Amino acid sequence: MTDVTVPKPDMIKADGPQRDVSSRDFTVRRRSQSALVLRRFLQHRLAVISLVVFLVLVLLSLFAETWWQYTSTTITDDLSQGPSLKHPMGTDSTGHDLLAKVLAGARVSVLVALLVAVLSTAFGTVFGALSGFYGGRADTLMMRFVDLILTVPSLAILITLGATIAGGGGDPIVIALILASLSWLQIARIIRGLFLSLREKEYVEAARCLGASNRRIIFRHLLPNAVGPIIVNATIVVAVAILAETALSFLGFGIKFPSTSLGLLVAEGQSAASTRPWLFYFPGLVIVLIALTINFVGDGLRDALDPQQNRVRA
Amino acid sequence: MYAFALRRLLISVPLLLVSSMIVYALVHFAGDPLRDLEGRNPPVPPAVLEERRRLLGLDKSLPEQYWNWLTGIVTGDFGPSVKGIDIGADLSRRLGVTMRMVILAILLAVILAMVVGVLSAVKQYSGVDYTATLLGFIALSMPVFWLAALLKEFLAIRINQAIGKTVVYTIGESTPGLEGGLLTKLADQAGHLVLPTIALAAVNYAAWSRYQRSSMLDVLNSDFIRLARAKGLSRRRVMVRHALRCALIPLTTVVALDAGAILGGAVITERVFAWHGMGEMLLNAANDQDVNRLLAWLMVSAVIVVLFNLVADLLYAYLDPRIRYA
Amino acid sequence: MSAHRRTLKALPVALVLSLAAAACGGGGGGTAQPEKSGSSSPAAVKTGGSITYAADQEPTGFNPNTSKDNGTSVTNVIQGILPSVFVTQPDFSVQLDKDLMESAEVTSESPQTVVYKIKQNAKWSDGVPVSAKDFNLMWKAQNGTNDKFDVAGTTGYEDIASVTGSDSDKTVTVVFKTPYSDYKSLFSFMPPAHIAEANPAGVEAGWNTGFDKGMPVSAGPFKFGDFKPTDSLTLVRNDAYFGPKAPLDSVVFRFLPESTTQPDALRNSEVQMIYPQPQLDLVSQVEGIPGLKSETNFGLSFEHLTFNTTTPGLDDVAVRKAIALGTDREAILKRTVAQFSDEAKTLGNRVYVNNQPEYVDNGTQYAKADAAAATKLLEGAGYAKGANGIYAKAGKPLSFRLSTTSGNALRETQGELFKSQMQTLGIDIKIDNSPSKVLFGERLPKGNFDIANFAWVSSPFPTGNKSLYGTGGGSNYGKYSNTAVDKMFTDANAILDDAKKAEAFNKIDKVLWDDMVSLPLYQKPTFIAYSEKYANIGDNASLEGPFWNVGTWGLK
Repeated sequence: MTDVTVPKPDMIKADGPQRDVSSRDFTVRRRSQSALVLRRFLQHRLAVISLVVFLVLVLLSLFAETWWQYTSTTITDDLSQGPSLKHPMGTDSTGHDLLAKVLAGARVSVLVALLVAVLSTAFGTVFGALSGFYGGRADTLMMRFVDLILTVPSLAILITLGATIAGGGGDPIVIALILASLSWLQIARIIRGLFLSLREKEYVEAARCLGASNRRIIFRHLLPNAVGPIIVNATIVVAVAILAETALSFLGFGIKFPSTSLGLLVAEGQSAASTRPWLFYFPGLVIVLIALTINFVGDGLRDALDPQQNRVRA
Repeated sequence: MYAFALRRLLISVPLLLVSSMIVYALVHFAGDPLRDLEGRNPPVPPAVLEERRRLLGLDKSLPEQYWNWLTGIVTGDFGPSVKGIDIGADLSRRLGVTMRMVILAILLAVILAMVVGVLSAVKQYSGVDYTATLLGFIALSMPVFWLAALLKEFLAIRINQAIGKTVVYTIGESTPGLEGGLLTKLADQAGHLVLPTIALAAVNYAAWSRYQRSSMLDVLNSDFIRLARAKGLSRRRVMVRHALRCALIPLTTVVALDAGAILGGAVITERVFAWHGMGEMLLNAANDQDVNRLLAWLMVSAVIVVLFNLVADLLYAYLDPRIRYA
Repeated sequence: MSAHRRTLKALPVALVLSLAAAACGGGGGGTAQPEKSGSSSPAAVKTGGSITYAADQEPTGFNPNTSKDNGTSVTNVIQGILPSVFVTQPDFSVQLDKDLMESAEVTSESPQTVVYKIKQNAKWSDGVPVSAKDFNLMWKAQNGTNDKFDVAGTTGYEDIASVTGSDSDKTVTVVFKTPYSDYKSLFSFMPPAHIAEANPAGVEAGWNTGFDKGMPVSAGPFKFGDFKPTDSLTLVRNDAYFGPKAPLDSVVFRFLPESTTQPDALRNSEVQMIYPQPQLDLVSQVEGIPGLKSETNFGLSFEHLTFNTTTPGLDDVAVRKAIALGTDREAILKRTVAQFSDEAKTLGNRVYVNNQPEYVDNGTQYAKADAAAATKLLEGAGYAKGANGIYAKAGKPLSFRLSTTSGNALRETQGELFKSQMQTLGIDIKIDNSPSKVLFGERLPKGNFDIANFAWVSSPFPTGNKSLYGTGGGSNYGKYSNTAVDKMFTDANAILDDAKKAEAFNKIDKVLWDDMVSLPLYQKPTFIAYSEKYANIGDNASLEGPFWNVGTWGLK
């Protein structure tokens, strides 16, 4: 079951910045940076296990229909039953199989979080790159903007947006957009800081002398050097977004029926915590499991991509 | 010093302007806040609705409404509320309730983060370090409301059963109509504070202890510490007087930066523990589309965040003698 | 916010102690024997003590006749303070408050004239008599001629020609311009006119906002004590009350908006009484707490599906009937309210609910789901099943939106069950919910729905139904129109005899079944739980709510 989960080395190698030097004739076996990273990541056992667990969870929820007999809309005759072989997570008062609901909820929650990560990373990277690359007054202005937004309690903005833009519909895509609109700030700051120092490097000057356009310099020369922090940050955004989505849905400003999400399931199960505990604890546990595995993966990636903070050597 | 504080406050004015404009527009376009009065049976007379809209200023154009709000807020007038609430009075009551929880939670989280962070840095890769890391990650991955429910079910009820009476409360910020002296009231408030404070502190503690750990590691590996040790200073003295003091600077920044997030987190904790603080106000205002109440929340929160940053700046000066604010 | 709250004014939401009046009187030392429920005298209780109630909402002000304060959070508090002429009893009969009134009688039918005689000793707690002036302000504020008054509605009051006081204002003669058979719903929760009129900004301001901070005087068993916004509100015994004195020293309303916290609050003795919307876990949690009494009742509000008769497809009565026949209401009950109350039944009437004496099951042919009959109806009307299993005519499939208030778990379940039942029948249902504010404030009035699930509140005063089912009625969201029904409403609304009136309204309901305007589902349960140390607490499942007899509550 593990062979699906680990990216193949040559797949990663392809986007490493140093691939041009490949034809040199060395006696030592060549190790691209990505191979090194992968090696370091694989040594972080907890991160690898977490990645496997997370991917298994995602696959199970994506293909729930093929392996589990119930769907989230199946109405069975078992009302409010505790966990059993037939219903491993029990059923609710309508007769839904909770496992099927949790799988459906996990699918939505994870997709929302991934969408948030992709959108915010893309936007934040471009924003930060432009700010850092051009510097000067534009940089000051753009970064002041980011700093200012960072001081507003984001949950308040999310609640306002959830209550107004989402209009109570609770469409997962809208919720993802709302979450993404506030998640790009961190990555923008990181990339900007990185670009400020990278743009002074000699190879940038060299590229410029060769007549490379700004665009080419940003995307072909600078960005590949920022891949590490981008990936690490995107991972963290996924974990944060999962929790933010659940919090928002819990407060009633996020995803709503007939869509479902893990946060919504916990919110619905809240009143049942002491009478029908399975309705409250199973969805919550799955949230913790997903967020925890992503956080560990992020930790592993950070260690692997940042040799200075090298935990693996011990 | 005062000039510095003033400057910091002034910097946030454009932010408040922009964000208040955005919130105003968002709420405006979300629809008429009085529409639930329409379509009642028997019907509310249209003239009554019109009059109430006029009193709320809803009959004016968006820029006019915003301008009225802005000129009002400068003089300390929060404007009328859709629900007829005196926003200023309501806010001042709620502010104390929320800040009680927020400040305690920050203190608790900071102390825990310092202790755990330093310990796991000093004993890097030991059992303590790994346990702390694992616990931190779990706390970081747990929804606040879920943790809160766990605390209620497993901590509060167990403690109360063990003692035989209710000392840890699960609802509200105090017992209403409580008779007794100051001490009784304080004990009562403390009993109500325990769970929300732990819940709110847990998440932040997790992130902060990680920061503390890595900044402590950086400091421990630096030359001046090695020098201090070589000079013959005791390990303890080096740790407390030199290393910890330096390693606290990054933590201070992070705590100040997270002030907004903590206020946000308080919204959830207040909801779970049925507190009547600022969080409840925010949620109600959002549900009622009560723009003036929403903005009042935003303004006060922004001021709090600025104040936190100010305190952080002052702490820098204390922690790092090189920094002086003229 | 729901229709539940919206129709509040249609009922005589009133405080009355007619039951207390039947007791031996005296301050809590009565020894009357309890009789059958519904007309029992209060049990003997001790004087003194206090009770704390978990209120889910904070009152916004204290004049429930304004649009701002027209809600149960306000009426619960004000029940023990403001006087009302009539009060709906737990058995839904309407009775005069005999502590306040000598009599209220119709003395002429043309023009309709009602003479109210107020008790000589009835006075506000500051010594000012309750008088025709209070009646007069109610009429002046709510007759719709002065826009400056904020009022929740003008029904009934707009039909009044004059309100005159005589016999030093202790007799009030009300003459109607147009007959209004539900006159007993008028003059409930009368605020003190002398306080409103003394407002420096004018009587309108006195009425609209003068009572926002509290109610300075009382003509009930309790008076305003202490109001700590966001925390609690305390009522204390009104020693100047002219009726039997309240046994309890005080009643505390503690604001606990999260109903999920209420069982814990009960268990911790932080509150002694709750009245939440019942829900499976809440009921079973409360039933597991020792030392409590709890009961489930069935109130006046009922769940139903309203059909938009202008939606293509739904404009065909055969389709509406087929939907009704294909809806297994028993199955919906079984998975919703029947889980915590085995007495829940389906409802066969739109005007009266199961436990009202006027109730008749007019929808017997829909009592059981009948898929075969539904199919026959659809096929008879020219619909044929397409390849996707959905009926269609002329290329148009039967596909409708089902809308309800989002975030309401019970209704979401109902929607899901209805959707799956319709799927089986061959009708496609798409769920399209909105927050209650949007549903009631925008979508229903604008007709932006196909099928809507919400609650209506039935009442001992059925005349309000005209605006629900009459052509062009303000709450006729389905745009149903039948001139015969309009005529029947006009006739029925003028009948002053209760029995004949009930008969006329049941006849109307039969026509509404034939036209399948809406499908009633079931009567909504109410749930009350309180510490068994207290006596005389009991629900009044009409909109009076549990505080209808707060003046008799006491410690055993």
